[in-house]
Amino acid sequence: MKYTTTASLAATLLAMQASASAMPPPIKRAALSASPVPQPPENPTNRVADDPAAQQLGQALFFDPNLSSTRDVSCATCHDPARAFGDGKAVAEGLQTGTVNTPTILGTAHHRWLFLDGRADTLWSQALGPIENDLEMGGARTDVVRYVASTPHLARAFTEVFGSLPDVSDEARFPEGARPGTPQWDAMTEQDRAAVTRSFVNLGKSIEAYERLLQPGESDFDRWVASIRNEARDDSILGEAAVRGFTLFAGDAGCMRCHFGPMLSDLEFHDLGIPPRDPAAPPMQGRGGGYSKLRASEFRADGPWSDAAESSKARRAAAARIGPEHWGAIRTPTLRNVAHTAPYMHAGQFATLSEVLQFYNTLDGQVRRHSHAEAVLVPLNLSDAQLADLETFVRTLSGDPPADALRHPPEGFGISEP
Amino acid sequence: MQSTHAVPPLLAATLLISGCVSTGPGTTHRSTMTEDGRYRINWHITPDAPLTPNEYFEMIVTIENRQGDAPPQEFRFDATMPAHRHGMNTLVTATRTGETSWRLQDVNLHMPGEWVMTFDVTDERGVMHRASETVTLE
Ligand code: HEC
Ligand code: HEC
Repeated sequence: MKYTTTASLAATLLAMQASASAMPPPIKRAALSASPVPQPPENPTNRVADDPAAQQLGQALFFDPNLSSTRDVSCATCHDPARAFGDGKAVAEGLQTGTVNTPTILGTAHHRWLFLDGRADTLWSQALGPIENDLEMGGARTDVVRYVASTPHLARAFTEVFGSLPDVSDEARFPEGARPGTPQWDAMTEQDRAAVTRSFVNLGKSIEAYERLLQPGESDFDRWVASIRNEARDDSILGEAAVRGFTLFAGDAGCMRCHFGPMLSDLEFHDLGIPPRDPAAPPMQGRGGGYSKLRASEFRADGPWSDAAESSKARRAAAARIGPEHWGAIRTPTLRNVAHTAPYMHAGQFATLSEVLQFYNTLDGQVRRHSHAEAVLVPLNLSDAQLADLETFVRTLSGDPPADALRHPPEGFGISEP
Repeated sequence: MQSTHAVPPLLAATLLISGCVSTGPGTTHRSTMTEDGRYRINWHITPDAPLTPNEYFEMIVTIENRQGDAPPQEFRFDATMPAHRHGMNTLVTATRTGETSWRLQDVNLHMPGEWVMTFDVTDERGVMHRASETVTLE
C-alpha cells in the first residue's frame, strides 16, 4: 500500500476502507475495458463522415419533417433529443405503428451493424431506410432530392459539400413518388435514376456526419473508472450499491459476456427468447433475415455507392458468417443511457429495468424457438437486494447529454423545433 | 446443469493457453501439433498483440510437415465456443502465401470465454489432419 505520511487521517481511513474491499483484478480489468467511450471508429465508406459542413447539413435534415411524405415526421420525431434520442414508446409510431422499439442513437456510430437485425452496415445507408419506409416517413428519394434542390439553404449546403445537385424539376422525367418498387421509378431512365440515387446517398452521408457527433456523455460510471485508472479509486462517485452491482454485472451475473466494451454491447446478435409482443405476428427473423436484406441492398459498404468498397470495413461486412443460431437474434443494445430509454427489449416488452432484471433472474416466459437459440443464459437466482444493486449500477451509465447546439435544428435553415 | 457463469466473463488482454508451447517472442506466437503428430502448426497474430474479444485480427500460420517433404494440399481454420454452441460471426479469408504458409484475415473471436481453434491440414493424398487449441479470452 502506498500511503504518504502526510495523508490526513480521513484520507487514510478512506483508503483503508477501499483496500478492505480490494477489487478483484478481473473486475478491475472489466471496468477499465468499458470506459471511457473513444471517438467512433473511422468510416472510410463515407468520405464526408467527419466534414463539418456535412455535419451541419445532416443535422438540418435530421430535424426536417419535409423529408416525409406527409411533411410532419422527421428523424427527431422518434429520435427525440429530450429522450436520449429515443421516443419512450414500446414500438415506434411514424406514419403508422411499427413493430419494433426505437433505439437510442447516442453512440450509434460505434455499432458495427445497424438496426436490431443488422440489415445496414453503415450509418449512411441506415439513414436512407426510414425515409422510404412507409411505417416511418413514407417518402420517396426523387421527392426528397427535389425538396433539397428547391430549398435554398439546403441546396447551398448540399452543393458546398458535394459539388452539384441534379436538376430534377422536370416532373415528367422525375415523377412524384418515384422510388424503387414503384412504376414511376421503373419509368425513369437508368441515368436519371442513378442521378437521384447518388444525391439521396449523399443526404444519408450527411446525416451520418451529424450522428457521429452524438456521443454518449460522460457518466458516473466513467468518472468512477477514471478514478480507478488514476489509482485513486473513489467509490463515493458510484455509491456502494452500484459498486456491488458492477461486481455482479462483471462477475457472477455474467452480463459482460454480451454487454462489454465501451458501449456495453458486443455489437453482435443473440436470441434471448424474449416473449413476442404479439404472439400472432410472424416471429422476428433477427440477424438471419437482416443479413440477407443487407446483402441484397445496393447501399452496402462494399456496394456501388460506397466511397471505399474495398476497405477492410467493407470486406468484413461482406464476410459475416450466418449460422442457424442467428435466426431471431437481436443485436445487443448499448446499456449507456438505458435508464432513459424505457420501455425495453426489441418490442418494448418490458416497461421497467426491474422487469428486465427479473427476466434475467428467472427466465420466466422465455421462448426457445429452436435448438440453436442462445445457450448462455441460465436463471441467475439473485436475491432482491442483489437485483436492486444491479439496477443501481445500470443507472450509473447515464451520461451528460450532447452539447445543446446538437440537440436542436441548426440555425439558418428555417427548420422549427420538433 | 452446466454453470456457464463459472467462467469469469472478463475483458482484458489475457490469453490462457492449454497444452502448447510458445515458439517465439510476443504474447501470441504459438504452436500446436496435429493429433497424429504429423504436422506442427505455428501461428501468430500480426501485428503482434494479445488476443482481445471482439477485435478483428490477422493470423499468420506456417505448417511444418514432420514426416516428409510434401507440402499440404489445403488448410482450413475455424473457431467455436463449445459452451455456447456457436462459432465465429465472421468468415475468415485464408490466403496461401507460400507452400506452407497462410494468411488469415478478419478473424474475430467475438465473446469472452473459451474458444476452441481448429487447424485442419489436408495432406498430399487428401487425408485431413486436425490440430486444435483452446484459448480463453477474458
Ligand atoms: C417512426 C419512428 C422513426 C423515425 C421517423 C426514424 N426512426 Fe430511426 N429508428 C426507429 C426504429 C423503430 C428503429 C429500429 C428499427 C429496426 O431495427 O428495425 C430505428 C433505428 C435507427 C438507427 C439504428 C440504431 C441502431 O442502434 O441500430 C438509426 C441510426 C436511426 N434509426 C436514425 C434515424 C434517422 C437518421 C432517421 C431520419 C432519416 C430516422 N431514424 C427516422 C424509429 C424511427
Ligand atoms: C447472451 C448475451 C446477453 C447477456 C449475457 C445479457 N444480455 Fe442484456 N441484452 C442482450 C440482448 C441481445 C438484448 C436485446 C434483446 C431483445 O431485444 O430481444 C439485451 C437487452 C438488455 C437490456 C434492455 C436494453 C434496451 O435498451 O432495451 C438490458 C437493461 C440488459 N440487457 C441488461 C443486462 C444485464 C443486467 C445482464 C446480466 C444480468 C444482461 N443484460 C445479460 C444480450 C445479453
